[in-house]
Amino acid sequence: MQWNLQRILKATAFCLTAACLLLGSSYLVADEKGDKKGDDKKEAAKEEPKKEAPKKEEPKKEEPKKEETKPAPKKEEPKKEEPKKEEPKKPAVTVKTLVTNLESPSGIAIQDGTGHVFVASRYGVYRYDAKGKTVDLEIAGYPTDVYGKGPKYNIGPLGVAFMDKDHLVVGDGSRPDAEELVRIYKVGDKPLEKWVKEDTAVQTLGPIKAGDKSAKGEGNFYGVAVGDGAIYITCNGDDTKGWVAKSVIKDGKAGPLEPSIATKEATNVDAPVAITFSPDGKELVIGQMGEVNVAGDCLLTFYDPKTGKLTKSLKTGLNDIAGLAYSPKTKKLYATDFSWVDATKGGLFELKIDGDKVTAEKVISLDKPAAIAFDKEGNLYLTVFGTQGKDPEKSPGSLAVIKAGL
Amino acid sequence: MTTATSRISARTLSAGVVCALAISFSISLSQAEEPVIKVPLGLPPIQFPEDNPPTAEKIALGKQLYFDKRLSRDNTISCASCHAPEKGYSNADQFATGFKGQKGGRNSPTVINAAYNKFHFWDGRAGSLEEQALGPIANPIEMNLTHKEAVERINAIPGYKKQFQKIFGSDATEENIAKAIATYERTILCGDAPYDRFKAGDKKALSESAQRGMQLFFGKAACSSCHSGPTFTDHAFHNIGVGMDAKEPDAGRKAISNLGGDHGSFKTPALRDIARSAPYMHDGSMKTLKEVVDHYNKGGIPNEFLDEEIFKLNLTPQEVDDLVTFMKEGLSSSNYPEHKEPELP
Repeated sequence: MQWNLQRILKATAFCLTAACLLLGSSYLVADEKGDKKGDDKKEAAKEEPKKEAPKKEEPKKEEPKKEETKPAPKKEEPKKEEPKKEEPKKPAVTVKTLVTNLESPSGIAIQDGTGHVFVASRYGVYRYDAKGKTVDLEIAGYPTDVYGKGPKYNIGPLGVAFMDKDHLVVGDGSRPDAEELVRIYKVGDKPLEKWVKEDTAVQTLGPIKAGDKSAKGEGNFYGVAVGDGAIYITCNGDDTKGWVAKSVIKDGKAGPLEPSIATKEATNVDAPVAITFSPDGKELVIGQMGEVNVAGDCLLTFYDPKTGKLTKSLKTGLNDIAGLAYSPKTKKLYATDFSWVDATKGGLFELKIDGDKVTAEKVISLDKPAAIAFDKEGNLYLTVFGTQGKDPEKSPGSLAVIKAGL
Repeated sequence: MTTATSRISARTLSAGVVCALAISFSISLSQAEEPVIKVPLGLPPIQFPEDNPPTAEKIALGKQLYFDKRLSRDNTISCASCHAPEKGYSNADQFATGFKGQKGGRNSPTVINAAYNKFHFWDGRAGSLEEQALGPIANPIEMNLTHKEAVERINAIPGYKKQFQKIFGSDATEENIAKAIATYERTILCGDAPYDRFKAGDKKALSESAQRGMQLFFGKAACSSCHSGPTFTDHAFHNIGVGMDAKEPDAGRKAISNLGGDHGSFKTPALRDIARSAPYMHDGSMKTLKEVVDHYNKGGIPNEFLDEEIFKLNLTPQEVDDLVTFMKEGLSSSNYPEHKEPELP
């Protein structure tokens, strides 16, 4: 009899517990709903960033263009422009070819005042005048070095940037590692009657020889950025370090070139190439290219120029970032992907940063693009290596522009 | 009992039960947070494929398959035959011997830290461990068992069939055999080496010679140009000249990428516990680490496609010795996972 009672009591307790639980849990659910309501409110508060209506650009009709002046060096003669038959990804963006017949066109720098576009390529540095549509060789007589083992590219000067409106900094690629130089030239407002030799620089910095800081010396100065009172050069010699070299500017003169930021040690990825300053001038922004024969390994990195410390290292999923630039109008960040393993994947990308995440959104496909630079109006100039055609006398590289809107 | 008292005791009861539930829930939560695979000092978290998360049962199944010789035609060869735990998860010969005494053309890569490799095989043709696992099984000169037959054999063994049903909700398939083996392989981790402890602050963890060797590794000897990161590989492909003086050199990565410059380029191997997995290089041509350092010291073997990172190092004999000491002593983990063959179904 007793154990029956116990059983009944147990059963009752059990049922009561179950009932209380049920009741209690229903309150919990209600609370969750209440929390969810709170979340919904938060969602509503977040504003959708306004999407800009894509500007409609009519692809330009074919127009016979002026013959460009012929510079002295043999093969490379910028020819009259042919309108590029580009298939734009979005209807709004059209790439207009300005100068063709360039070999390995690399860095771009735009002169204050004149707005002339300076482009480095295998045979030298050219000055392009968008108004007059003329192109003139400014600095030449470089030796030639080779980049790559297959495909191979003949390269000369690589990175360019203005120290001030009269002085152009040129990072060289025409010499072997440990002999490579950074040179500063005085440039005027008008094209020269005749180009000047590359050793007529007002200042020569480097070379960074083999030694304690660099196992075999530095070379291939792809990127040049000027800001925070110094010149920064991305170097590609010692892969254990991945040096960005620095030259402090004092009273208008550039100091000695010293290895400064070891980007490989900071990020574990090779090859700092693209370099620019953030719009507020406070951050050094560097594209780490990674290995050319590995896809998707590029990093977008940020450094404090005052301390040289890495502040952010973000994966981009791109193959080979060659150029970086911020739009002066929209402050958006753009990158070119040379895409060594598969040129069809290459092009111009917008890098959208959200916290630690970067989304690379393709703006337009390009056949091996190198550098990019915005002018004050927001027009984007680009250099593109292109693909060698059947005629060995015609170099496949070009300088092009995307009209303001990015 | 009055109604008031019954309410009180019911509340207390339900409160107690809720507490008990909460405690057991949090215990199970914390158990779920405990990683299935513990990663030793110096190694980053493992990125598991979304469709193949690790569980203890899957690891156990994968381990059985890894050691099971029945996955070869004549029941003599398992993964462990050429990737043996006691031989650095490689095979101490220049080339491993497969089905009916046939020899392969490339040295057996180690499975140590393969969990972190972006590519597998010397030419990087597989992008995941899952992709790699089935290759040797069907390869006529290795295990020589077609995937179809492998699946049939496994499903004919009740002990296996049961495990597959429990873990994957189906019989064994090519896909889930690969998933199980890959998950087991992700447990073969080497870290917590004197190098890691030195970096973490224990300045006595490395001998003087190993410390000098470490400076060279990251400096004058330029090893970290390619052997960089937590597992000491950049996951890229380089031509360091090995085998390029043969009559018909192995084209390596070029066969996969079709990039001319990849001719004779091979995947940068990872280096932890490297002392265990001799001989070295894709052709197994170097028996000792000293031979390896000598190769780099002289600037590799010149050929049209030699990487520009390869150049004469001018290391002194003492420096060569220090570098070898760093690799042997500094990169050997304190808890080397020398797994033994488990009981097979």
